[in-house]
Amino acid sequence: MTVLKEVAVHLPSQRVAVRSLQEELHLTDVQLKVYERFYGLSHILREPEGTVYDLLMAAAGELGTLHGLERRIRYVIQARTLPVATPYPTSAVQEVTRSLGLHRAQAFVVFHHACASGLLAVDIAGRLLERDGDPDALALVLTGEKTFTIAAKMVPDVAVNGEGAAAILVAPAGGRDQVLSYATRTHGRFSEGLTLSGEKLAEFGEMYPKALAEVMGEAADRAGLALTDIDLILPHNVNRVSWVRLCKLIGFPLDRVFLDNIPVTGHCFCADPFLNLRSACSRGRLKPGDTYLMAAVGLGATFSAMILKH
Amino acid sequence: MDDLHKWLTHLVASYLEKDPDEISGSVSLATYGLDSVYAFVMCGDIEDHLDVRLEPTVAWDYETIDALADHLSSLVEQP
Repeated sequence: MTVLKEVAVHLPSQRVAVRSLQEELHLTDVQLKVYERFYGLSHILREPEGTVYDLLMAAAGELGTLHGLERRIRYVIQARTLPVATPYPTSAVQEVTRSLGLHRAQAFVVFHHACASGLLAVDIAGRLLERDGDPDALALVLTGEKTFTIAAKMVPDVAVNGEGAAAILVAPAGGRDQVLSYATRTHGRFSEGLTLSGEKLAEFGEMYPKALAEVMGEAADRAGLALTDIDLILPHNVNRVSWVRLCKLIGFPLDRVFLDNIPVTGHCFCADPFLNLRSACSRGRLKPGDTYLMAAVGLGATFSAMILKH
Repeated sequence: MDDLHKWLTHLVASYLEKDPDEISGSVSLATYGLDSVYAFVMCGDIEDHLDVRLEPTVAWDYETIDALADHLSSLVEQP
């Protein structure tokens, strides 16, 4: 049984209005109007001087329970959207692992599900810990990315990206958030990701809510629940309208989807569901015993849903 | 209704940079290549023109000008 022992987040210091990025993102007036009026986008957060290492360290530094548990950490998994090549032996996740004193941990990166890799990392962490059979062992999942290039700054006509980061301490038992199920499906015919165009892009847009609904339903089935049993959905923060459309499709009340962070953080790659978990908890949107569903979609195209009990 | 239908036809034609006579009310907007961004722009323009609030999914729910005009007519006739 996989549990989230603790989830911590780092929200970067610089608050940037999407409107002020019009030139930088090459947005037309029409696109800006749509982003603000219908997508619910307003601001993003950036850490102008920080590196990926700084983002991950800052998120890990917010974990109140990590100190003293360093020797129990067996795995450090960095969940990324964008594969990044760095000259050997430079590696942010290895540097973070060393800096945190996690000398007994194996550290590696997963990016294969793009923005859904955060949920993948939690699933992998749980499987590895279960396989090892040590009830005291822990894994640390880290996620958060820099928005250096135009490809990293936005998903055209979908989202504007920010640099929020999250650190998740995963345990095989004893945490406050228990994973009940996980469902994921990759539709490889959309592997072109950001470069999809024409009919294929239209096809992706058409199947998007159905494919996400499919994995959400599958996760609910595996948890022995109906989607209507879910108390709160913690989405990816790409935009508001995609959730309006999905809720209409599956008949789920929109007010049970946590959309508060979309105008605040923008889409923070794999970190979104975890940022939303922290915000939902701090705003009293989750009470003990509630079930919630984390949802994420990665370009490429992977659709994932994880159901947890708080 | 006729005025609204005509206004919508001109609106869609302007997005597509076509002559309004080339736009049929019974053909889906997607068939004309009206992408999702312009579907939302259309929602915004309709809201401004009719002084109503629309679900942003309206362009998916009413795929043709005929269907959209019917829906909007019933919407503005509501007390």
